[in-house]
This record gives sequence, C-alpha cells and structure tokens, in this order.
Amino acid sequence: MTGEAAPDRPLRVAVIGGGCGAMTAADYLSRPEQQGRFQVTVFQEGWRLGGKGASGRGASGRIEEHGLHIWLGHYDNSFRMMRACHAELDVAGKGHLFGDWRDAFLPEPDIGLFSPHEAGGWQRWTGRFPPRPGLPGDPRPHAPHSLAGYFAGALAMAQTLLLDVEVERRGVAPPLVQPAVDPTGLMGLVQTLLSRGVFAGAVVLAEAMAVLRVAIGTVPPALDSPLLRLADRVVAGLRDWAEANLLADDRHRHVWELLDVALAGLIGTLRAGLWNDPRGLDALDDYDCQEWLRANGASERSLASPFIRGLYDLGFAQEDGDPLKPAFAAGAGTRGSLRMLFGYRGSLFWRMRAGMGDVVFAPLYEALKGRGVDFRFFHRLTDVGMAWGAEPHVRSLTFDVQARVKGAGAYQPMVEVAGRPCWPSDPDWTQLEEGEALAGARPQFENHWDRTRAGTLTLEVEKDFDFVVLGTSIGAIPHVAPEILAKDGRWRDMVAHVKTTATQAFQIWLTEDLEQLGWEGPPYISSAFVKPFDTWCDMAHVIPEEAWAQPPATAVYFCSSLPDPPVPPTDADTDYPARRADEVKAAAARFLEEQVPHLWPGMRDADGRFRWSLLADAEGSDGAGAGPERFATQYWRANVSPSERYVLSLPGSVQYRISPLDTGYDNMTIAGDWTACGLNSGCTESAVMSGMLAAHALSGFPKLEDIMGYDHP
Amino acid sequence: MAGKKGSASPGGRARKPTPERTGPIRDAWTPPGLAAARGHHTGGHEDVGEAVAEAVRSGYRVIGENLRQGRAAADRMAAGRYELADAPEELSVLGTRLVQLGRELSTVWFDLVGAVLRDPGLKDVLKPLHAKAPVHAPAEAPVATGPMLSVVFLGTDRARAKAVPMQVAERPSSLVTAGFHPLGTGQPPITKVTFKLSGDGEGIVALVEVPEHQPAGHYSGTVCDAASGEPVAALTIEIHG
Repeated sequence: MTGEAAPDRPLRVAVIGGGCGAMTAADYLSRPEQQGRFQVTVFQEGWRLGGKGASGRGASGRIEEHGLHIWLGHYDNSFRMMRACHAELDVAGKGHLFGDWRDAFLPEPDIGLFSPHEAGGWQRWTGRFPPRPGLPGDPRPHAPHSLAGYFAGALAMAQTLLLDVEVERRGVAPPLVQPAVDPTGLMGLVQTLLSRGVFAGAVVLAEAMAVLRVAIGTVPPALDSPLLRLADRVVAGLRDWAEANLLADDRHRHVWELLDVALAGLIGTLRAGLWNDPRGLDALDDYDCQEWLRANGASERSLASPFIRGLYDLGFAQEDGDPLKPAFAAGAGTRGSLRMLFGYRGSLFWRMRAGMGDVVFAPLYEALKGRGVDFRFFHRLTDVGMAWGAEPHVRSLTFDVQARVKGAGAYQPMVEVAGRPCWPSDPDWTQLEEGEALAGARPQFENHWDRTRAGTLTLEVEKDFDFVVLGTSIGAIPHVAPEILAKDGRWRDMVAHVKTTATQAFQIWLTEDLEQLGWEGPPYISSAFVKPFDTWCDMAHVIPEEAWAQPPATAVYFCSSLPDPPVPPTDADTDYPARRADEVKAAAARFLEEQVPHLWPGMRDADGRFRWSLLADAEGSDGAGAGPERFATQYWRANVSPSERYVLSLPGSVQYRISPLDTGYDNMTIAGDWTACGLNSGCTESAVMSGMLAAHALSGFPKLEDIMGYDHP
Repeated sequence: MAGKKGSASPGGRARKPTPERTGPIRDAWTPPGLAAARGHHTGGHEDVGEAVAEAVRSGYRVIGENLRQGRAAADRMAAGRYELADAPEELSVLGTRLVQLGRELSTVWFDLVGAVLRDPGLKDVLKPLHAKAPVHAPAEAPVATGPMLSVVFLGTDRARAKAVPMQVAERPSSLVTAGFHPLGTGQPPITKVTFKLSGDGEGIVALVEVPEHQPAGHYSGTVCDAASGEPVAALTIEIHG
C-alpha cells in the first residue's frame, strides 16, 4: 500500500499536462484496480487535452491538427489503453459516443516512399505490408522479443526474396535442397558450411541461411564466434547475390535495401557482443544509426534509400530541425525499427478516423471523468517549488490561472460535430468570466509567449496534493522547474542533452480527390519526399467526420521538422510564434505550387498554372479569391512553443534520460516520451509507456512486466 | 505490488514506494527454456537436420494455403472492408503462416496485389479505405465444387481458356509450369505465367501474359506442384487472330 497518510482519504495526485504520458498516468492511477486509493486531478493549460496530440475543429467542423498523427501496429500499450477505454465507455452506456475502437482506428497497409530519379523528378516506391496475426494491444507471451528472433525473421525474409527472384528468373523454382545431416550436430553443420568458403549461388545461400536461422535460435551466446563468422559469410554472400541479381531490377531493389540495412544492424549486434551485454541495444546509443549501419556493412545505396530517409523523416530526426543534420541514436533507432517491422499486429500503420484529439483524448476524457478524475482547464504550471534536505521533494505547484469559469463550475470542453464529441479550436468564451473581452482579445492559451491570466494558484504539499506527475514536455521543464535544474545535475544533463525540434504542418482541403488529380494507387502514408514537407497523407476518410455544407473531395496533411533560428527566441519575443507561422504559410504555399504537381499533375491546368481554385474554403466566403491568396483559407501551423516541440533521440543523448521510476524526488514522477521509458524515442507509444511507468512509480500498478515491450533488447 | 511499500513521514507526508528496479531488462538472447520449448536442440542430428531442412523448405512455399488466406485478407483490406470483428482468427492463422514463410516484403506479394487490382471483375468493387458505403464481394463469386484452375490474360483480349479442375498435391507447395506450347509448329511458347488465389479463395488463377504479336493458335501446358513434380492440371489456351 503506497503512502499511509490519512487513511480516511485517497492520496491526491496532481497530474500536470494533458498529453499522452500524463493522461496514461491519470488513466492507470484511476482504474478500478487501484480501489480508489488515488484522487487524480489533471491540470491543463488552455481549453483542451492532448498536448502535441491535441486537435480542434474550425469552420465547417474541419479538423485542425498539430501535424500528421499515425499509430503503428506495434503500439501495443497505446492500443490496449484505447481498447480498454472504449470497452469501459460501452459498459457505462456511452459506447454510442465514440463507437467501437475498430471504427476509430483504421488499418493502413500501404506506404509510399520517394527517391530522386536520375532523370529528374521523383521515383515512387510503394509497398503493401501484409497483415500479421492478432491486433495491436492483444496480449503477448512473455519474452517475445529477442535479437535472435529478429535475426531469424530477417533471414527468412531474405531467403524468400532470394527464392522469389530465382523463381522469376528461371521460371521454375530451383531444386529443393535437402541438407546433409551432420552427425556432429548443428555446430558441425556450421563448421562444414564455413569450410566451403564463399557462398555462391542461390541454392547454397538458401541452405546456409537455413542453417543460420536454426543456429541463432539455438546456439548459446558463448559460442557466437563461429556463429558470427557464419553470419558474416551468409550476409556477404547475400550482398554479392543481390549485386548480381537485384540492382538492375527496381521492383526488388527496395526490398533488398531494407534487408541490407536490417542484416547490417543485426550483424552489428553480433559483432558488438550485444547478445551478452546487459545493456542490449542501449550500448549503441552513442552512434548515429546510419553511421553504425555503414560501419557494419550496409551499402551507401541502402543507407540513402527512401526507406531509411523515411524512417528519419517519420521521427523528425534532424538536430535543430536542420535537414542537413540527420541524427538518430542507433540503439533507439534499431529497437524502434525492429519492433516496427517485426512486431506489428494487424497492420503496419493505423490511421485515425478523425483528429487525434477526437479519437484518443475525447474518449479518455469521458472515461476518466466518469471515474471521478477532476479536470482543471486553463491552468498553466509556472513553477515547481522544492523542499531540499534529507528527503528532497516537491513542496508547491504554482499555476497561472489563464481564465476562470463562470459560476466556479467545471469547464465543459467538448462540442458536437457530425454527431460526436470533439475539441474545438478555440475556447468556449461564453463559459468564462470576462468572456466577451476574452473573445475580442483572443488570447492564445497554448502559446508559451502569451501570458494572459486571470490570477494565480499555488498548491502546497500535504495540504493540497500528495504526489505529482510532471507530464509537461521536456521543452517546458526549464520554464517550470528552474529550482530543480539549479540544484540537480542529473536533471540539468537531461535538459541539455534530450533535445527537441520544432515542427511545421499544413492541411489543405480539395474539391477534387487525388485520383482525379492524377495520383495512382491507394491513399498512402508517404514520406521521404522533398523538403520542407517530406511527409504527407491523403486524409479523405476524415471528410465525413467534418460538417461541411458542401463537403470537399479530400483533405491532405503535410508535416516536417522546422529549423530553429540561430539565436533562440527570448520570452519577451512575443511576436515569435506569429513570425514563424507566417514563414510556414509562405513555405507551404510555395511548396504546394512548385512541388505538389509532381505528385498530383492535375493541380496544374492545361497552361501549367496552379489551380488554386481547388482549395475548399471552410467559411464559404465569396472573397477567398482564385489565386495564391486562396491559400489563406487553409490551415497551417508552426509548432514552436516549448511543449509543442518534438522529442529527439540524438546520438549520445539517451543515457541522460531520467526514468519515471527514478526521478530523485520521493513525491514526484515524470511522464512523457522524453523520459527513459524503454522505447526512448519521440512517439505516442513511448509516452504511453512512460505514463504507465509513472503510475507504477506511485502505486506499483501496472506491473513492469505488463508494460509490453518495456523489457526488450 | 512491487517494491518496498511507500510510507508517510512523521509529519504524514506521503512518499512513493521504492521500485524493485528502475530500468528495463535488456536481455538480448532468447532464454534457453524458451528455445527448448520451441523444439530446437543442440544435440541429436536428426532433430538438427530436420530443423534445418524445414527451414529450407519453408522458403519454398510460395503459393498455397498461406497465400490463399493472405489473398482473401488483402482483398478485404483493399476493399475497405476490414471486418475486424471476424478477422482476428483468420489473421491469426494467416499471420502465423506468413511469419513462418517470411514473405513480409516479397515483391511477389506486390505483383499479386497489382494483378488483383487490375482484374476488371474485382476492380469495380474495390473502393478506397475512406469510402463510407459498404463494399460487397462480387455478386458473381462462383460456388466452388472443387478446386478449379482458371486463367486471366494480361496484355491482350485475343485469348481465352476454359477453367479446369485441379488435383491437389498431397503436400502442396508452389505451382510451376514450363509454359504453354503450341499444338501447331513454329509458334513461340507462352512462358510468362504466374499463379494466384482466386477471388473466392477456392481455386487458383493463372495469370498469363500474352505477348502482343503472339500468333493465333492453341497452346497447351501442364501445371505441376513444384515440390513433388506431380501434375495438378492441364490447360489449353486459344489465341485468336
């Protein structure tokens, strides 16, 4: 039993922030398994939950997001949480509000990647990843993850690729090989193969791969020397075979590039002795992913492949948002890639039916509210006051109260769009004191530089709270916890090394769909396109979720990192967000006009002029114009506030992350994708795992072994 | 509940419990117990030999039961009818086999999807994922009385062939053919043939690419099971002038 203070009352937990990490912690601390031990209060700046995942509804109920949010099929903890949430709402008679979770998350098996064509323009590689057993969030057996398992999977893929190509080349399958049974057992087979020298020919290579697949699942790590030699030999043989058979054939080339990289990574883990290293893949975190793969034999061609570029783009893995500085810690990157490729269930990617706020934070809010979790909107944390001494702990929490709710009631944050509860893009001023004045001034409560407030609030330990879950993003830590940073070297190191990047995004609504505009194929999630907006996705499926009088044919979302200025802005530079937003607007319009027609040729008319008139105006005004000025009717944003910045996993930074289990303060934990959460990369799943760790830190629930993927090489 | 219990200071302040550990277990190796449970053994040459032979054979299962289920699932997903309410069991069986086969990124998979999407009968009913209207399977889906081998021609409308019943090999693996050879003399054979599961999941479709200037005539060929070599069907194709 945690904390035996005042047995007649629950322990009061102040959860700061409303993003994935904070909300997961609030979820697990308020679950029935806790038997009412905790009273949870969520303090959120502004009018809506979600943090970087917050979304709103603008004119015509159009969805307005921070960027493009895609869930991956290995986000087991995230999906499990949402599936439980939907089930709980259903039992509570609220299932009709949000439907089944499978209506909220849609499988997306198709991915599109781009590479510059030698003749100019872009070459497109598209792939469909077939379904895997089960659904994300299904229970997993214990210890499902191992480097041996990943290596065996990669070899199986390589083996099938090799045989596929042989079948296609010859017209018939090569003769089936029945390997000779060696009476000295498996290691005898390995030595026999090694004695053959170079593996030439598909058949011999297939046999060698088969032996290796069995060997890596069987041979204890202590005998990895002949294993490594065999693995080196097999991979070298595969590379020679690929050079001879694949590079002229584009259809197979990208499959090989993916495998080349996967095998280089796995060979690297063998060479580095990671299979015996208690640090596992963490031992690689000082290296950059590409550098490390290059050192272990991946070809330059594979490293420059759209798949690798796409991985970096999806993670905004550029230091300072600079596309010339790609950087991803090899351990975190390898772990994430292995889980992504070999651990997805159902589909590789999953889209959301509507905005992430609608699909994730609305049902969570509804479920948690039903359990008695208290939500205090318009409360922005400004200071964490500490008590030092033998037992350092959080002494106080100070907030700006940005606005007060009329009648001291609870703020009702949701609006209904297309029959479902949604978060609006602006507060409901009518619920607020001085609402008319606020509506006129339109303060930006989520903007770090806007310090509009109606008052302040200071909470004190023991009097007002017992525990704190600090769920703000790391970008906000220097602003809210200067006292900790002044005294605690571990926290200073964390803030100095775990960096973030600003991001930019824009959304357009079009009166013709992409097929009409000349795009061939399914609505891919696409990445590795030209900068600045290298990642985009056709979001036509959200149009029915909006409330247009005359619905457009589709919506398309673009996003990417946003380079920082050479000199960071000060808190006094209140125009900074607006200036950056103007930059994004101009860049987006330019990108639309110059680059997008490469994707959708129909965006230009017969005379080569860009068809601005295709942009649908949500306000239906007559004055939107038919030229470039019409872009002003669309949506764009620069995510530059400290808590909006995307968390990076730069080489050399991961070791400085602090775990929610080990903050150093006996009444505080932390939650967010910036923490040492196991996955250690900027994504929803990391944040959710972190939130689960935060709940465990305070209560022992959930068990660590129940956090899927936490224990992982 | 893990770890040392939390406690209150003499002043009553609550403190977190001490966790049993503060970091993940990064054990990279498959635990020996788990490896043993999977049936891998370090000794016993028969076991080793069979394990390796099985690993070799698994790469050869190009078409068969596994692809059959994969085709059906892929069709549903492409049609936007990912009926997850009834999918999990299907996907579980499918996925286990697919993982065993290691076909996750095979381009043959892409070819099959492309061929299906080009199939005029299916294309009309395939809608993007975002379509709100429910999509139904083709009304003319045949009722299978036994596995049939039918033909779809690519690149021409001058050809026709009649579906024929198939023998099913005892342990089906891939299907292969040496091509379709002219019954007359002098014409080149038609060799570009691949196989896919039929839309109803009950038979096989031979995708035959007919060269543009293929002479008119009758062409015949035998389709065999790759592993055993036993013939499973004989097909005759007619190319019109």
